[in-house]
Amino acid sequence: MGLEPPERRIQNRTVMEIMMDGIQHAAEKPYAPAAREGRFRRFRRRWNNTSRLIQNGVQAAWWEAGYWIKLFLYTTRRILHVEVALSLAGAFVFFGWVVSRNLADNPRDLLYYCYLYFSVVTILLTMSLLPRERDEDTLEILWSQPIRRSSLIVIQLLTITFWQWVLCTAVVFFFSQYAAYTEGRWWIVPLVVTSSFAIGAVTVLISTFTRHSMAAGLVALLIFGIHFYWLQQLGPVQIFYHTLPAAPPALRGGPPRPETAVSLLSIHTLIFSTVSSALSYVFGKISPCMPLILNRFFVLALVGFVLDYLFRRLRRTAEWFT
Amino acid sequence: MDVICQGLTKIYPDGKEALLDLDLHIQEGLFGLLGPNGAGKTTLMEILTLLLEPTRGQVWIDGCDIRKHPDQIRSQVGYLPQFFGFFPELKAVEFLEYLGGLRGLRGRELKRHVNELLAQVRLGGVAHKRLKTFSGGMLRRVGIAQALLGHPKLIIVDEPTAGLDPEERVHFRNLLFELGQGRVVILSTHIVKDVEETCNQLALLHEGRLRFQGSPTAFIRAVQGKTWEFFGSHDEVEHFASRPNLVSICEKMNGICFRVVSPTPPRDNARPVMPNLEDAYVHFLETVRQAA
Repeated sequence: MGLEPPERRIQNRTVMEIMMDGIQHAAEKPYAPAAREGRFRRFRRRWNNTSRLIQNGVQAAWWEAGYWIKLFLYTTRRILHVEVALSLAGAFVFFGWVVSRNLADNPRDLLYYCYLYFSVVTILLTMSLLPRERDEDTLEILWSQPIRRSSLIVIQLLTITFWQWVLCTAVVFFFSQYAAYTEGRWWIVPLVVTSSFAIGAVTVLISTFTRHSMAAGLVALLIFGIHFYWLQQLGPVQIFYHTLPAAPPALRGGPPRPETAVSLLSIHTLIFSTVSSALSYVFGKISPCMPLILNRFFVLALVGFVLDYLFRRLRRTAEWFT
Repeated sequence: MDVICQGLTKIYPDGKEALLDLDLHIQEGLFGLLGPNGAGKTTLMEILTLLLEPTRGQVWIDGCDIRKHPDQIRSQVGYLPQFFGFFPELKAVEFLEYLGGLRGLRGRELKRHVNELLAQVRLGGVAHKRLKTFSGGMLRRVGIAQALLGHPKLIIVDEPTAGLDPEERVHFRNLLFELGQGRVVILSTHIVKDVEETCNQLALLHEGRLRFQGSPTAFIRAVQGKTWEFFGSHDEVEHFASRPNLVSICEKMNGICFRVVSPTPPRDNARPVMPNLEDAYVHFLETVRQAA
């Protein structure tokens, strides 16, 4: 048929295109002889270009913020009641059990269970994030909207993480009243929250490989269960990083971690503890906070890698939801 | 506003060829997309809405290549999928405001636009009821309202009248006809009558290939003088029912009335009748199958 694309353009341009126009406009162009252009005129031209660039940037940010807020509010509406119920009711039962069985005689351990608890909540919430939209046929509607698919996933994850932060703060505030030693307790909140985001991203990725959300949840629980109990010897290279002081001076010497789990993998423990000691030694020399910084860089890198792979996968195999 | 597909091919990862070298030019107005199950209609619409990437070929919507300007295209396309997913816990007005927000509409403009759309699809009275309480027809109307958010220039509706009662269907057809003024509306359906009554252009797809494109009149002209009706007995039902060129059998006062598309009269008492789109559809499919 030999059809040629018409040269016409869509009138309603997207904000991104308007912004790109601004950037191109602001870029230096081959110009008429500079001598002809006075200093004031040149300044005015640059000022106009810069102000247009800023204006376009603000316009783009405003447009993005609009639908980010909508997504945040909708996701909140969808998950908050479940998240609150799981987090608070579960936290009371779980921590009550931990305290009553004297499993957390070290206050460090009591707060450290926040990791375990909020990880489970995150997995329960994120395992059905995409499968539910897919099963209810709402994903098709959402993905046909003029927004980035990555935003849809990232904002939903951020919303869950935001409410994790609020609830984790409440839980730590409440339970640390029952601990005699609470030094550094607030450190646990940002650590739990960032780890939750990473766990959520991994769970969403797993859910794109499984047909049912339950399977995704079980696989994620298995992976993070192993990670929680057996890979902690890796030091900074782990998600559940521990920065709280091991114990107050009076309590030092107590068993820091479940010993049964460690003894099962004594060779691994040896290797991991060697690696951990080496890393701690090297980075401890630079700064006492370095292992923590390194650990959060690791979590950040993990999140980046997982999300990048997830978005590529969703783009490449969009057939999976149709 | 027009849509141009050139050499469009979609092969799924399992090797299924859903579309093969499709060349299509869709102009302003209502465009009917006909074809049996598995013909590639839904795949074509998912490519046009950028839900799927084509394996080969190009698509231009209003002069924009969909691969190069996906964001622009999405803002110009309204889509009502075959299985319309809704958020049951939201009210109709909230649902439209949510999707309107994703389309970049804000504040009063958004509220006004949503109210207009709800009135247009005759849902103004139930705007504040939750979607889970809506009937199938009402949900389809919410679906069409969400497809109209942001005044898109291209509206794609997949099986919009499936499962609707006759009154709803008539209203829906009229609504689609209204929408076709000044924009492109692509209507995919199995119900040939819907296309006959509303569309000014149509295309017939079969096994991923384009078999016909043109006006309904031209489509019908192909069976001019080849459509026959005759009365027969109950005993003949079984004999004619197995024929692929049979369009319909119905019981009338004079007996059983058979409607058949055939180049020659199927029986002595057969009389030629004015063909309709359904006759042409049966004829085309039969011709394609014989050629295959």
